[in-house]
This record gives sequence, structure tokens and C-alpha cells, in this order.
Amino acid sequence: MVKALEYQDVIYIGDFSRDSEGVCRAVEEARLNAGLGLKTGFLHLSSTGSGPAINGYVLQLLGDGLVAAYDPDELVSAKLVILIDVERILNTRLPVPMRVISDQVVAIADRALTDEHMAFKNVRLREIFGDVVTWSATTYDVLSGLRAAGLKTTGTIWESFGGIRAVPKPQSDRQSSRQVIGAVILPGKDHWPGNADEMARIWDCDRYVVRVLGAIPDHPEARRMDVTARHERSVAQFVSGLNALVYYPRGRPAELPMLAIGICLANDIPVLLPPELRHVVGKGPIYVGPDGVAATLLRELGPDPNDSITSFDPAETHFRRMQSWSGGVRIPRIGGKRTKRVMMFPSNGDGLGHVNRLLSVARRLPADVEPVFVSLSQAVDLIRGAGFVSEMIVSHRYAGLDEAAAYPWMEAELTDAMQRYQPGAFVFDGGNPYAFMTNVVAKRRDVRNIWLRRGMWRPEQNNETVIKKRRFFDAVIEPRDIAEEVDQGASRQDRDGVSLVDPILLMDDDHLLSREAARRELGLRPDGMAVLVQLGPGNTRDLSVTQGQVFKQLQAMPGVQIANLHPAISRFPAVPVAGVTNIRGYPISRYLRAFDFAVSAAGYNSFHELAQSGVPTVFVIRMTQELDDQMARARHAERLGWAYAIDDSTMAELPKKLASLMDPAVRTAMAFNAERLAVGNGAAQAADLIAELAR
Amino acid sequence: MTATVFKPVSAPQPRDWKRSLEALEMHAQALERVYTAMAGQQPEHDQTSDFVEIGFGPVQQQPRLSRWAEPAKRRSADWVPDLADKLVDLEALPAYPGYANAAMLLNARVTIGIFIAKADEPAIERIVSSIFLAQRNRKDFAPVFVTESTNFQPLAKRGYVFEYLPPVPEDVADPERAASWRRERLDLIQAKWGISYFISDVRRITDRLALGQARQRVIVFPDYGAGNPYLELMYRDLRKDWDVSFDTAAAAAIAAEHGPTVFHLHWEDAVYRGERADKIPQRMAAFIAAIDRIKHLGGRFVWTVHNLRPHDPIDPTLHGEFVRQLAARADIVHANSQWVADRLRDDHGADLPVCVVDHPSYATSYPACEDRAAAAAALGLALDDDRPTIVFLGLMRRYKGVDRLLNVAPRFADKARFVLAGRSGRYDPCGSLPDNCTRIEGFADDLTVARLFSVADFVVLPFESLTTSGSLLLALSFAKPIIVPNLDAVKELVVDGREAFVYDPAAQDGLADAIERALDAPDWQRAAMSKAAEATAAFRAPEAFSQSICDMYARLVSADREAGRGDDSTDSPSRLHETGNVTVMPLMLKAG
Repeated sequence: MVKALEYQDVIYIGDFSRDSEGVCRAVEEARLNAGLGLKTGFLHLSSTGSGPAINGYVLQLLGDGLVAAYDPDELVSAKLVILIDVERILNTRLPVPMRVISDQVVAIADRALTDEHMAFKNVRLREIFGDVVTWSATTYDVLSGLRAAGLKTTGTIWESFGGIRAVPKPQSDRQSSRQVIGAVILPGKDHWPGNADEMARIWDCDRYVVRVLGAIPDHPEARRMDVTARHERSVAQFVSGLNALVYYPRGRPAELPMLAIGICLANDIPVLLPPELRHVVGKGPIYVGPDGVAATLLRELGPDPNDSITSFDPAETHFRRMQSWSGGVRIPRIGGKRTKRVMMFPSNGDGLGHVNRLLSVARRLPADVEPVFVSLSQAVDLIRGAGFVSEMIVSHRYAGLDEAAAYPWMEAELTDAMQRYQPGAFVFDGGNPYAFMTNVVAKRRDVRNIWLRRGMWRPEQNNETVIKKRRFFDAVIEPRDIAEEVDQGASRQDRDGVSLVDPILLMDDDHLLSREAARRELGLRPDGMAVLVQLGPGNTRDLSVTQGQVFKQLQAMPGVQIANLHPAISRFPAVPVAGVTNIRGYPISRYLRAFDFAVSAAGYNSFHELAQSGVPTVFVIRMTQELDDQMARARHAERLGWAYAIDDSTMAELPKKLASLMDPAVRTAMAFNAERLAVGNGAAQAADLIAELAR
Repeated sequence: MTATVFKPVSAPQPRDWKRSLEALEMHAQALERVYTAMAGQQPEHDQTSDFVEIGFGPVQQQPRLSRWAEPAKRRSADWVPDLADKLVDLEALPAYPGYANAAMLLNARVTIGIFIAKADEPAIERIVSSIFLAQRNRKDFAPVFVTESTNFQPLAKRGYVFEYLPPVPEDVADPERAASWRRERLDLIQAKWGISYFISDVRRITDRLALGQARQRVIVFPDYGAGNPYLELMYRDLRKDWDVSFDTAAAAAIAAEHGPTVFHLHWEDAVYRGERADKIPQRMAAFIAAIDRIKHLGGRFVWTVHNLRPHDPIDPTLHGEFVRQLAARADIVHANSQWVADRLRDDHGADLPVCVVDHPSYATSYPACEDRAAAAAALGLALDDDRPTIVFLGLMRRYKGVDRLLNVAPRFADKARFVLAGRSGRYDPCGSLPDNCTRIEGFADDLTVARLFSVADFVVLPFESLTTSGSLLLALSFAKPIIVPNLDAVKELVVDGREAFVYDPAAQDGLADAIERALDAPDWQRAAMSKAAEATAAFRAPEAFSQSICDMYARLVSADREAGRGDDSTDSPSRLHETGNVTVMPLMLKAG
């Protein structure tokens, strides 16, 4: 069937299976085009015959509907055609006649070729497109080569820059943390210095966190670098998280990471290059020899940096370029500010901690940032009840599935959700970022990835590989823990560049019900003692014995009203027990002031909510593999004088602790100690950080 | 409430995993009885009424999503893979059958999608209980619930797998796209869990599940079913107990995920026919991969060998490798004659699981013969003299020797007329026909076939090679003397002078001499040969063929049983492979 002629503003022609500078640049420009309201098409010409998979970043654009895809035999008209990786596609047999109609064709060369080659390729291009071909290059030396070959050129280089903004750094970053310098390495051997000593002088792994996008050489110093494969993160995402880009190749490689350099310069991120590249890259970078790198970095990244006062707006610059090359036709621009979305992705913990923290943040996001939940937790009912849209991806843990089998499906489902919601930021709350998740979100060029990571990891666990997954995120936000001074876990050692916020709580103090109001709503008598029991959902451990012992002890105490919180995500029905009021729903934190004391698990939320409401507590802990260091947290509370900590395998101490809490003087002292700990609610701080990243 | 005593689950012994799973199931059943008792004995203890509900109260926020997240409109091209392309490579996940049915993990089971629209908790509890009870009665399905409700507790407490399908808001901007997304989402869920079908009407749930044991499925490739009497006869009796359909190997692999499936291949050249030469290896590899998948999922592969060598021009090494791969995977290789079985064993080893079921005649497959004159008139043939009519019938292909026949036909201009009937493809030798030859172009339907044999005095089959004697048996079924070369497939069936004029294909004038002999045969000899042909065909009764195929499949199933399949999902080789014997199915001859 013959398809009708289609019209686009810009058509990019190239081999989109490659991970080249040209393809990465086209992806960035297509996003800028979409922002300007320009219709963009990609026409794929395989330079290797059929076979290699299409570049993942190109597929994202197509999946998001930002770009239309064309086959070589399709009839399409465009105001401007841009040929990328032109030297490569012209080495292959092009379909003739090309059915792309345009009055303006710009062929962009990324690498130097001999004059004869250029002239030959120019003849071929003219055969295909007619006398409308203009050449450009991404570096000055290649542009000179084009001119020397007698080709018609654009007169200046085709600047590479993306529309991405640098990641805002935590306030404390410049003073107290190791800063991040990085290198972007293209395929090939000549992107590193020739000798290892020189490499160690340039990238000081003791002073800086050194991140590399691409492959590292086989050298002990290089192994200390934090390496991200090129397919794991886009160039734009990678460099936008750096404090400086430091690139010292051996000689003049055929292709340079001009996109990385361009994005850094556009975002006022210092770029350090060897002086030999000055005639190639031109103004902008700091040219300094290997021996001068350390001093330059100290100066540029120090407390009084040499910030540029000029501001560069990639969208504006690209707009002018497109206007110029689209024959002067006015390009429609999209006006107005669009609401940004944030996708909240809670892990499936034993309790509600991950969901609770994300809900706390979601409730405080500004009006122009819209939260949507995609949950691995089954607490969808609760999320919707809190007023947020939520979808669910069935967790492999709930379904009893092997990760290797389930992850590809979960990846497909998350990809679908990302394509539909198109969030500006993605917030993961969980202990260990899932591979299926990082496969999807870390690669998405237009999404800022944030790891909301609570502390108190178990010190005996080896979490080195988990910590290294930070490279997939643009920011890590850690809510403080009242017990943080006893935190011995791996996250404690990984605070460089982490944004610390106050403990995240769902309710602000003024949202909490008074003792009287809470008792009224819970149907408890206004007088007499009331005790809350909240031991968790018991989905991964049997709580019935512990619960039975607690109830038995409390029932033996005269006049005590017992309330049992039955968590919404518990798989098991609450067993009716005489004299016990079962509470169902969310959030219990609003009602905590109703209670004189509590018997509770010591998860992050319960712990901080009970402290917030000043409720003396007996923490009953059973340490299981998947939990954080709840025992350390509870013992710290005991030392601070507002709680008791007991291991549920030695419940013999329970009667003594409960008897102690029956004494009003003890309770008053403990409540006072708890209230002394009260700190601000970090939910708003986290929401502000996330909103800033999402916009 | 009477206290239920739980039997302790004994710790699994190394070799006693099956028993421990059964113990687990007993434990779970006891648990379910407690649930039921709680629901039945204390209706007013309905969980809703027993709870104090809490919530956000005045600090509740309004939903903040301004618009439904629809999939983006996109334009695609050949080089862009879509979601289906990605999913096709993924294996369906095994749906856990629920805590109370853990022992079902041992059995082959079908996964059924149960759709629950928005419903309150008691309604969901009723649906889930119905499914639970249905599962107690028959242990061959695992449910995957797709629910619009966020009340997962009735599902979670029984350990069922469930997917949440968010309802589309009523004020959605583009209902069509939203509906399209829901369809895509259901497709994904179906593929993800290998769901064989969805049930959305709760009232029908138990009816559907009350149906008998799922029938075993046979998927036949290629789809030459219409107009192919051989395939019709082959599966005529089998259809009574098996669900027989025509489809691809990929479809069979999907079916194998859902239940017992046999994939039956005929004419292996159909795998790559019409494909460009450079793509043929790819096609073959994909086909072999699909068979591997079928077998991995517990399915079986049966291969009927119609041709020992390919008739189409194809790289013989490539084809040889393809056939070798097929043979290595086949649970039964069905040969239409003993000599083919012998050759297959020579080619692929003595332990090839060959099963011989002789090719049937077509005695009952065609309408009764019309009067000769009426048939000739209907065919447009002018039989205006007494010259005998020699008929060639069949698809015109190079190996059938039609051009050789046309070379010798003019020699008999005064003595015989030739009728050549059948389709021709790229090869068409009938461009310029001798005067005594008539061409009837196109596919010959059953009535045309009957008419052609009605006008035929002899049937000529000047083949250069022949593996399966279908054309020969067709002619014999119509009681016609045949002119044929003495190929292996022929020699097994006919004798020179009894029902055929057999010639040496290597002899330069072999065909002409045989025709000469036929034309010179006196009437009594022709009549005797006609009777002999009829008798020979009768030894290959179609009924017996159909029954023997059933027996062959029964043998396949019993071999599975003996090998413990069904109790063990591992892909153990079938009994037929283990014994390595050639199994010969006795033909059931009709009396008389």
C-alpha cells in the first residue's frame, strides 16, 4: 500500500542502531525540537545491513511519541534534513532514489576524513538530494577540513548541547563532601592518557569521586573509578551530575565526546582539556596540561569558584539555529508552563515504610508538580485512599517468582507506565534498587532519578554492590533517623553528595488529633489507660505467638483499653480477641496521642511517629533478613529514656516493662524524653528537592 | 467455635518432597476450613463491622492527577520494535496455584484469568471462594485474578496471584485510547502469565470450570487441511478425543503453555517455502527453536515424513541438517511405508522412534464415479473415438516427469489421448502441447478428480522420484491400471502385470514401452488389472489408517505415562526414545 506524503519540520537521517556522537546528538536535538513544537522524524539507514538493535535512547523518543519513525522507502517532506554520522552512512549503499524531499540538507561530520573522501561523499549526496547540501562539523579542525575540500559549509561548527540542566547539588556539597569529576569515554583505545602515572595525576580518586561513562583501561587506579556503561545512562544524564568534566585523551581521537563537553559548558560545569585540543574544540573549556589539573580543579571546585556570569539557554540557541536552517519559516513555540509529574515507586517492604515516606513527600509537593504512584507494594488501596493515583506492578516476591524470570515482565510494565505518565522525576524508596527498575529509569534521558534511602542498614550485611547503584541516580535523599548516631550500616559511609533531610513524617504536628478527639474517633473511653499494639503485618514472619503474649499481659492489667492496629497490607485476617479493639485503616499516626503507651515494632515510621507524638513504647523486635537495624534503633531509644527494647525471642522481660509503664510518673518522664527528641518534618524538604529536580 | 487441630508439617526429607507438599496442602486446607468457619459461624463478625476504621479525615487530599495517562500517539516504521516484539521472547511466568493447592505445582495445569470488576469485599470474597472450591474439585488450573478493586486481602490470604487493573476515570479525555490501553494491558497480563482464557462473568465461573478434563490438543502444520484427503483421514478418528487444529509451531508453543499439546509436522518444506534463500536458515532455526519450546513445556513433536529428499531446489547440506534436527527432536517419526522407515533409520540411526502406519487408499474420500460420457462432457473432453485415455493428475512439479511424458506422447498420436490435470506453479511444462494431449488447468476438486478417473483407462505417473505413494493409492482406489516407474515406493505396493505396467526409469524408452504395453493389453487383462487395483487399495482401508493414527497417539500418551510425565514437569525423553525400537502399528483390515 502506498502511504501518503507526510510532513515534518526536521528529519534526521542516520544509522540509529549506533551509540555514536551523532545519534546521541540527534536524540538531544529531537527533545529540544519537541520543546519548541517542531515535528521531528527519524529515518533509519542501517550501515551494517540488518541486525543490530536500535539505540535504546532512540526507542525512548519513539515510545514517548516525540519522534516519528520512517523507513527509507517512505515519502516524506521536511523543511530541514540533517544527516548524522554522514561519513559512515555514505560508506554503505544508500537506497536510490531517496524519497525524502527537502530544500535544505545539512550533513554533519563528526570525524576528520581526507579531502578526496569528502569530495567523493559530497558528490554522492548531491546525486541523492540535489544541490541543497551544506556541510558542517562538530569540531573546528574537521570544519577546516571541509572547507579545504572545497565543500559548501555552514560557516561555523554545529554545536553539540542538550536541553538538560545540571543536577542541583546539596547545599553542603562544596564544603564537606567529595566532589564528583568525570570522564566520558567513547569506544576506542585512545581516549585515555598513554601512561598510568599521568592518569593517576589527572583523576585523583582520593580527593574526588571519579565517575566514568564508558570503559576504563586495565589499571589499578582505574578500578577505583565508579564506572557506568554507556547503555546504562545517557551522556546528558551522566554529565549533568558532575562537578567537572576532565578529558585527557592520547593525541586527537577520531571522534571526541563533544556532546558531553557541550552540555557541561551549557550548564557552567568546568571542562578540563589538554592544550592540544584548543584548535579542535575552541573557546569554553579550560586548557591545562596534566600537571596543572589538580590545581585547576581545586580552584574551580573550591569554596569560591570561578562561576561564569553568562547564561546559556539551550532551547533558545537551538531555536535560533532551527529558525535559520528551516528557511526562515516561523517555528511555532509551545508557551506556558506544563505541570511536571513525579513518579513515586515504593518497594515492597514487609510493612508500609516505603509507601508511607513517599506519601509524606507526595502530600507536600507544590501545585505544579503532580505525584503518581506505581507501586510494588500491595498498599494501593491506601495510596488511593490518601488521594493519589496509583498503579501496581506485581512484585516477584508476592508471586513467589525468580527474579530472572519476573524482571523482564516487570521491566516491560514499568516502561509502559513511564511512557504513559512521562514523569520529570522518578523517586524510588527502597533498600536495594531493582535491576529491572534501573534498566528502565536510569536510561530515560528526560527523568531525574532520586533514591529516597533511609539509613540504619544492618552493619553485618555486605551492601557494597547496593551502594554502587547510586550511579543510576541523580540524587540521593536520606531522611535522618533519631538513632543515626548508632547507625553502623553501609549507607552511613556513603554520604558524599547525599541530601540529608529531617525525619520524614506523614503528619505535621498540627495535623495530629488531640488525645480526646483521637479517643472519640477510635471509640475509646476518654478516661483510663489505652494501649496501642502494632507489631506489623506479619506477612513474612508469624506474629501470632508474640501478639498472643502481648494481649495476655495487657489483659491482665486492670482498666487498660487495648487497641490492635491491623495493617492494611496484612494477608491474614485479624482474629477477634475479647477486649481488644481492632483498628483498620491509615494513618495511625494521626491518632497516636490517644494512647498512654504502645507496644510496637521499630520500623522507621512507627519509631518516628511514636516519638513525634511522645508515646512511651515497648519495642518488640524480631530481626529478620530484610529488615533494617531495628534493634539498634530501639536500644538507642531505650538509652534516650523514652522506650524499652526487647527481643521477641526473650519475651520474659515483657511483664516487667509493661508493669513499669503502668506507673504514671514513668510514663510522664518517658513522654517528656520523647518530645525532647522532636525534630522538624523532613517531608517538605524532600518534596522541595524533588520538585526542583522534576521541573 | 471448635478449635481446629493443625497437623504439623513434617520437615521435608530429601526424597520426600512430594509428600511434604501434600502435607502442606493439608495444612492449607485446615486453614481454609478455619476461614470458612469464621465466615459461616459468625456472620455478624463480619470484618467490616468488627473494625474501627481510621482515615485522614479533614487532612485528606483530593486526587491530584489532572488527566488519565494515555499511551502516546506514535508513528512507527519497520525498524522500530513494538511491545509485542519484545514480549514474544519472554517466557510466561508460572502462576502459583494458591496456598491450599500447592501440591498442584506437581501437575500440568492451565492458567485461567478471572476478571473482577469493581466490587465490595463480600462480593470479592464470594468470587474467590467459588474459585477456591472449583480448584478443590479439579486440580488442573491455576487462577490469576485481574481486579479493578484495591481490596486484595481475599486474594492475598489464599496466596493467589493477582494483577491490579486501574479503572479508567469517567471523565477521561480520550475514551478510545484509554480502552485501547486496557486491552493492551490485558494482553500483557495474558502473555505474562500464559493465561489460556479470561472469565469475567462470575456466574459462569463454576460452569466453565466444571467442564471435563481439558482435551489434549494436536496442532498440525502446515495447514493443507482443506482439500487434502490424507490429512482429513489421518485426524478423522483422533478428533473424537483430541482437539485437532492447524496452526504454526509458535502457536503450538503457546498452546503447550496451557495444556498437553502435540505438534504434528507434515511436509517440512512448508517451513521455508516462498522464503528468500538467505532467510531460509533463519526460518529453519526459528522453527527448531519453537519445537524446543514446545518440548520444554511438556509438549510432544510428531513428524510425518512425506518426502525423503526435498523436491524444491535447496542447499542439500542445509536441508540435511534441518531434517537431522527434526529427527533428533521427534517423539514419533511417522513413515507411510516400511521402506521409508528403513531409509530413515539408515539416515538417522537405528534408535529413531519410527512408527509405520501405511498410507491409506482414498476409497471413501471421493464422490461416486459418473458415467464416462457424462464425466467427459463435464470436463469438456471430446471422446469422439475409441482411443484409450491416459490421465496424469497432480500438481505439476519437475520431479513428476511430465515433460518426459509430453516427449513420448506424440508417438501415440493414433493410439491414445492424454489428459493432464492439475495446478502448475512456476514450473509449467505444458506450454506447447502435442495434439493428443489435453490440459485441464487448476486445482482439481473432489468431483473433478472423480470425473477424471471416470474417463481414464489408465493412469500414468512418470515420476523421477517418489517417497509417498499417495497418487498411486488414489489411482488404485479408483480401480485404474497404472503406468509407473519401479521406484521403491511403487515396488512395495504394486506388481508389474498385476495392477500396473512398471518400467525402468533409467531405460531410455522405458516409459514409452510401458505405455505401449498398456495400450496393447487386451480387454480381459485390463479388467483383471482393474480388479487387482481395487483389491490392493482395499488393503489400505482409510478406516484402518485413521484408527492406527489414534493408536499411534495413544502409544505416545502411554509412553509419557510410563515415563512418569504428568507427575514430573522435567523434560524427560519419551518412552519411544528410550526403547529405540521401531514401532509398527498393525493395520486393522476390514473383513472382506
